[in-house]
Amino acid sequence: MVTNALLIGLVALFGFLECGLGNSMIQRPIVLGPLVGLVLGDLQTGLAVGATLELAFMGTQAIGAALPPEITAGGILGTAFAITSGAGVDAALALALPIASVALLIKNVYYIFVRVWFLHRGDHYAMEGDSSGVARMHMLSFLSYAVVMALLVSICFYVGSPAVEAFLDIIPQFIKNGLTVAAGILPALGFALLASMLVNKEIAPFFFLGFLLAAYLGIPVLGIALLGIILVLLMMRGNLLATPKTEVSEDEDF
Amino acid sequence: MKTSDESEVSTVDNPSKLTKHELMSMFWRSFTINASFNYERQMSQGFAYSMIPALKKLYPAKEDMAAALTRHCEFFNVTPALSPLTVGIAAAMEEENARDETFDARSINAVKASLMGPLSGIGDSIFWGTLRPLAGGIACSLALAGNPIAPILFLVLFNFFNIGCRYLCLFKGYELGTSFISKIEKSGVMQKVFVAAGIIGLLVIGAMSASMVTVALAPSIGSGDGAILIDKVINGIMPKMLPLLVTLGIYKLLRKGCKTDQILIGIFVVSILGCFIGLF
Amino acid sequence: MIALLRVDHRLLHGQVVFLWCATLSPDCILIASDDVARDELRKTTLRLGKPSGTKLVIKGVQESIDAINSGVTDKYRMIVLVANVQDATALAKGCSQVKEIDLGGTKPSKGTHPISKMINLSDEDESNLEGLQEQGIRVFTQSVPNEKPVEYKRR
Repeated sequence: MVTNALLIGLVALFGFLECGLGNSMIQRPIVLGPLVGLVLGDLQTGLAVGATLELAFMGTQAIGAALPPEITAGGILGTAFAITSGAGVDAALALALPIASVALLIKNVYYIFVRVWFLHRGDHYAMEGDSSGVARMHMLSFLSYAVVMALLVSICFYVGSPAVEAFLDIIPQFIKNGLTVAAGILPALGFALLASMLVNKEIAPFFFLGFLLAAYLGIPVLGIALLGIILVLLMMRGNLLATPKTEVSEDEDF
Repeated sequence: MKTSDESEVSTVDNPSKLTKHELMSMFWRSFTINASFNYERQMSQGFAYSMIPALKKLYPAKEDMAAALTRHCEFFNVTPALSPLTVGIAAAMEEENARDETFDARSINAVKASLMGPLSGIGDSIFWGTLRPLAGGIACSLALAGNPIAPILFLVLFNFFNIGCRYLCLFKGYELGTSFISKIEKSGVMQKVFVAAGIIGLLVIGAMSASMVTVALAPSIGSGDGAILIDKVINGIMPKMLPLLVTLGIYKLLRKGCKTDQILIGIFVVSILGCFIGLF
Repeated sequence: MIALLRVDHRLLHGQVVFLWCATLSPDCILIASDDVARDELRKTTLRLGKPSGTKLVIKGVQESIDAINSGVTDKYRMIVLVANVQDATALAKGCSQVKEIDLGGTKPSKGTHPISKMINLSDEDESNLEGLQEQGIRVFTQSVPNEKPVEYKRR
């Protein structure tokens, strides 16, 4: 149990280092889920949970001031508890969301109080021309958060497992079924969010094109993506990509 | 405001010219650009950290270094994958500043500030709106089938573009300086990129709405052997019609101004209650 | 007509603009700022980042006020962007069409204090906003359309 907690802590550390590793998406559920699964000896569940959470959280991202729920912590602990309690994928979803929301609160507190302190110390070094001081404040600000969160995740796992198991035992079956249903519907929210980010009147039909190709012909996502690239290349050839309307933007009548 | 002259990446060591050595160091450092994010100035520390190799070379005198470092403590926020473009351009401008007494150093932050908006618009649409869902969708379908290569494929797909973009951005940004911006604007390539990313993104998202949204209704019409699932009736009109209706329904709610959290909780509530009353 | 008057020091930035455009469907974005109107490079970069299908006009603050008051802009469904509270106040005072102001984001500088994660105001800003509220103009903070708007109150 302690070994597991330590290993989970390491996975968490790995995930929380993502911002310093080029935002390479290593903190996403589709990566950490299987990793947790590997560590706890159940890769298949890890994969299943990782994919489910990834789809559910696909549309979330930082826009404006609102940071999305902390999916690193939520994903790791959701997967871990799902495996240790034997409750499977649906439990993971039910757990990941509240955990991610609480983790977000902790993150906000850390950002507002601790990170800002490092920021101001960095200003101090900058004014003195001390570049290694500036560098140090930046890295410490980053690493301290990663370490603190990894510790919290590790402790949470160690302490939480029995509580989570007990909690999951008392949930009635219809709620468990409800969670399975919710897991199937949630990706739609992510897709709707993403679509609203990209869509405009001119390219809206492509959403339906993608849908029809998948629904009628069963073409997998990779195939659709490749078709899309070819389509775009062909459109470039035919000069169909530039919409004439947008070029006259400076034709001002006011 | 002067625009930067185009600079070639040189390999000869010249005290007021940046070489591949400094640029590579900045490239690697820019991987941490989002690492110390905070609400006050967001990615400012990451940016300053990335600039340090250039500043060390160009400003051996402490006062100049102090001025330069303080300069780069300003608010900064760009989609991380595109941020090296700003770093490269800023490096080219700092080089000119070190070389030319009459150069107005304040123009460096003015350029940074003006680039942040458009770069983020493009970056967010391409990386978060198109690339990540695309890589995610492909990886998820593999993972749901139990294939352990899924996470690796995801990371490779995303990071091929992530790292490639960063590298190109840093070096092109440095080589072309601010003339990069007017080149891009004149060529109209930006609008094309937006449209292309939008098309590919929507195709993929539309396809995932069919294959990765599961809605199964339990009730049926009729009884006994003749009973037909309502599900089958709806999906008989068009395959995956229910998932489509659900996705479009949520989209409409978002457009009407429903908050994401409300819809999230709503989905859980509807799912659980639905199971209770036998809808699902 | 003015669909939204928004204060955001980053003006056209990333998804924020796209989301507002998706909700409000404007056909025109007006950036009212003396600094930007004078700066060719800035104008070029802003044009790079605008959503397609929407007209982008960049004018100084007084020209913007004149244009709005002259009725030329009535046929457009416009989002007006300003970089700071000062410019927003000038527009609100100068144009009777302005009924509400959205505080999207202002960056910290000397003399400002944070009133929320994204908004930093100076005492002068706060007095101006209060004054506008007394004249019946609604002032609220809302970063993106999917967030709940919060009415501004001076602490």
